[in-house]
Amino acid sequence: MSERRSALRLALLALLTAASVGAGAQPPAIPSGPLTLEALMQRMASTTGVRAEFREEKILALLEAPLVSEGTLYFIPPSRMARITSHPGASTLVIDGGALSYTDEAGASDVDLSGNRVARSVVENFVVLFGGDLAALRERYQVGFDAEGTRWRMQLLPKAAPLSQFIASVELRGDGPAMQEMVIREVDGDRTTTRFRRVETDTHFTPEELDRLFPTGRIAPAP
Amino acid sequence: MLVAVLGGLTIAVATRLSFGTDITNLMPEGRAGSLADVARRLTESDLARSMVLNVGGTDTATAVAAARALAAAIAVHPEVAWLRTGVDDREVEAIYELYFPRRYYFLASDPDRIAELTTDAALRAQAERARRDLALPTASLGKRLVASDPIGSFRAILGRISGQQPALDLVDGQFVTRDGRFGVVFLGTRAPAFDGARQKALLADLAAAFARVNESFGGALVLEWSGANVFAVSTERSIRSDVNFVTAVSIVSVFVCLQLFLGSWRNLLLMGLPMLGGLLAATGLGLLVFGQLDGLTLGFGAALIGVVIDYPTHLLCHLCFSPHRADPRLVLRRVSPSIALGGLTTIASFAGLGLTSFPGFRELAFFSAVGVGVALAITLWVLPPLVVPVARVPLASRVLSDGLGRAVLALAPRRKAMAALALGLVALSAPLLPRLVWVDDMSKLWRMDPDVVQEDLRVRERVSQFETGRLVIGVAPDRDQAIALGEAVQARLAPLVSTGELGGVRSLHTFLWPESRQRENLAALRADAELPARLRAAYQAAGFRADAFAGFERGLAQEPPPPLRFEDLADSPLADLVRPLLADFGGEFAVNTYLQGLESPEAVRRAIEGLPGVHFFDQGQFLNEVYAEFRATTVRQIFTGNLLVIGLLLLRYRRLRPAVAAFLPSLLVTLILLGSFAALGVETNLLHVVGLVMVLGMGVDYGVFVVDSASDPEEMGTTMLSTFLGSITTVFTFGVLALSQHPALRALGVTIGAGILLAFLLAPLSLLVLRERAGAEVG
Repeated sequence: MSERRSALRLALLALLTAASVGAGAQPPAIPSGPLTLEALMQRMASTTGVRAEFREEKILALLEAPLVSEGTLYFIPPSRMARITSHPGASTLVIDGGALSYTDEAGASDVDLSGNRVARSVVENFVVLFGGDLAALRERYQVGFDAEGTRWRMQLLPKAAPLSQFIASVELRGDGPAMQEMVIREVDGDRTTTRFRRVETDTHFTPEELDRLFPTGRIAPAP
Repeated sequence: MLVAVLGGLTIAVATRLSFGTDITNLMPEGRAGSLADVARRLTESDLARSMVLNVGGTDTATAVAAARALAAAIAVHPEVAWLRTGVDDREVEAIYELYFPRRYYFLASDPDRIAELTTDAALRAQAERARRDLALPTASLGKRLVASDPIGSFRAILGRISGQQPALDLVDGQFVTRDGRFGVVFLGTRAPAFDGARQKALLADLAAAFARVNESFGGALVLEWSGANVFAVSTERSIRSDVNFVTAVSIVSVFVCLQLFLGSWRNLLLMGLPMLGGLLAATGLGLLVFGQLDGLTLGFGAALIGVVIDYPTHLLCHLCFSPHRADPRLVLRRVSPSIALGGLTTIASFAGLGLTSFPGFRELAFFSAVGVGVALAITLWVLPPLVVPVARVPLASRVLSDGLGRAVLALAPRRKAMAALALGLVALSAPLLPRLVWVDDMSKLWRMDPDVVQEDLRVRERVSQFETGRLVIGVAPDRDQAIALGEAVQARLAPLVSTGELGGVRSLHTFLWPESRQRENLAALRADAELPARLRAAYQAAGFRADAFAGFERGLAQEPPPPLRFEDLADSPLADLVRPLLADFGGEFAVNTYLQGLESPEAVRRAIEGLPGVHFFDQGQFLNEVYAEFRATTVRQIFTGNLLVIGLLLLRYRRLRPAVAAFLPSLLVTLILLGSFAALGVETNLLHVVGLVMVLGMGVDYGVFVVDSASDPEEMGTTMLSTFLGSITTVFTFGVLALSQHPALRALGVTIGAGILLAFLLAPLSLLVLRERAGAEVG
């Protein structure tokens, strides 16, 4: 896997990133030089928050036709994520510092994901990725990375069970700090492709928004 | 020789002394499976030995890390039987291995409902739900279940079992409270909750371990804990502090008082010999007979043996201060029968305790009777040659002896005045007796540290634990019937959970159904030959492939493993979860259903009404009922014991008058004490009754001493001096307990203090019943 060097493009990336940040906090710029995995993950780790719309398409052996879901994904570092689906039905999956909950139109969660180590491993993947936790990522996967300008591609191969029992590979594509596509191939051949659009990195969430997204009131670590 | 015997006894007792603090000794014995038996077992159960530790930090991550660090630090402690900080992966795997192959056995607790669960509409709903689940990020896990369990049997099992987990979040595998402020550690102790010494040491070690963890986290952590052992240790500490104060006050007071009146250190020390010998002999023989002695037995027994202070006091006073002291043999001849009768009446009054169904009472009766008997023997046969006559009667004794003697002898001819006094006291006290308020709520007997109570409440609220003291218990002759009973209880309680009258139940039914029910489920499912085709159609309508469910059809047709048995669960990682739910009571089986968020015990009682062998068990209420019986038994024993006492008095005096005369003061004291409690609105309890037993024992002694001295007016002064010294030392020893902050100790102190003083003051009323003037009645 190659890592291209493009100082000019990286400078542009830094400018673009700065533009997307509010007047208050300014995230660290990706250091000048080639876009490396470390630089990208460091940039992702420094985000104040991410909001992105997603469209997910699952091709499953069980189903005649692809299963399509749409909604919005929120990430607040270091470990809070909400995945709110609006289509085909309303549902909310919340990962909050290691605790997981899921609610759908039927009301309260009917499956307690937090008690399931395997389910947690699968879902926590998202937190590790969005949080830019390179060490955790490398603990779970063999990581491949290449970039061309601001565009990059990452390939992840699970190192051990339980992930390797379910996931064959994860492929991610993005532009700058924004992830654009994630393809998960499962060992049984099923495939899930998630495309992100209107990705807002370094979003500042208001306390009201946080309360709405994470109603359990968990305490965030002290800054 | 006595010194050698006492020394030998001391060594034997010291090396073999083994205390129990088994509260069940104070519960009535019952046959296996009875509520009494259940209560005894519950106090020893794993649940009664469990603790909850909440470790609070500045944020959730800190709380999680700190809870983990504390758990790691205490996991190896020899007194920690088990620790639970999160969901064990082995349990999850065991659930899959045990239940997935048997999923169809557990489809419906009522097989008639299987038809409802497999209607076309129900299958369509299952299919829609399965499709929704496939859209989740966790679908990689769930989709495997969809194909092999499209009717949701295993999902239902998982739902039931996950409902048994504490109402906590799980962060990185660690239990945390819903507000994220505390990491939670559950632990079980090896020692029973009421084993004060071991629990005290464990709590100290836990506190020290936390202090080290806290230091490593910068000192910002908080530890809150809850458990029966916390209350036991806190109460014991508080009682010990009270008793230490009382002991210090009483030792100083008794020594000063006796030295003042006896004027001889040697004689003073001799007075302690009967009590010491009695305690050692009672403890030694108690150990020999019972193997170990209960702490409560020892405490109450030692208090009752306190009665024996009267005997050496009476002997010493007469040997040293009697007008006939120049002839010790004459003195001994005169006082020995009185002392012997006093001792025998006391033994008789305690002996009745041994006739109850409380093991603790039997120990107590044995202990007290042996102690009093040995003390009596030492007083009569060992002390006399050891007593040194005092050259000069101390001023205090001389003044008091003369004054009291004159006063009593002056009172003797005033029969009308004495009769008026006695009748007046009876008339005032007797009508008040029906107003006595008996309180058997044991929680009111001990003052709980309010900080400990509040901390316990906070911990329990955060963890939302199932109640350990109020549960539904079903007793059946065999395991299968017990499991069926558990199912019936669950069915009766389920509506209460639906209506919110109960927060939830923890029941064996969650994990295990009767084997017959399991087989019925499978048979009912297989009986529907069209089910595979209807299921396929429902799922196809939801977008599933037609061939996706071949596995289900094959699985249904295959021979499944044998139905799940309790032994399978007990041998699996789920053993800790199921063991408290079914108990082998040596021939009978008790199935326990634990309750959460219990708002209305009455609703639970109504719900289980009519189920054979099923009871709503409220441990607090049960213990209160036990102690009410305990008190009633003691009151009955007082009557029985006093009949024996009267019999002994009649045997000794062979006439009614002196027997009644000797008994009268203690009878009056009882009436006045109880009447006063009623008039003052004092809520009387078991400890008042125990105190009364002691007061009666000493009251009869005083009556006997006065009656026996009536034949020799010159002795009356010495007799009254000895009763005064006996009463005042008892007041110093036990009456000081009235200052205790604990209602139980206060009750004991007030009863004994006031009772003994009254017994002393009313002892001269014995003369009222004697026919002739003092000096002529008993020859």
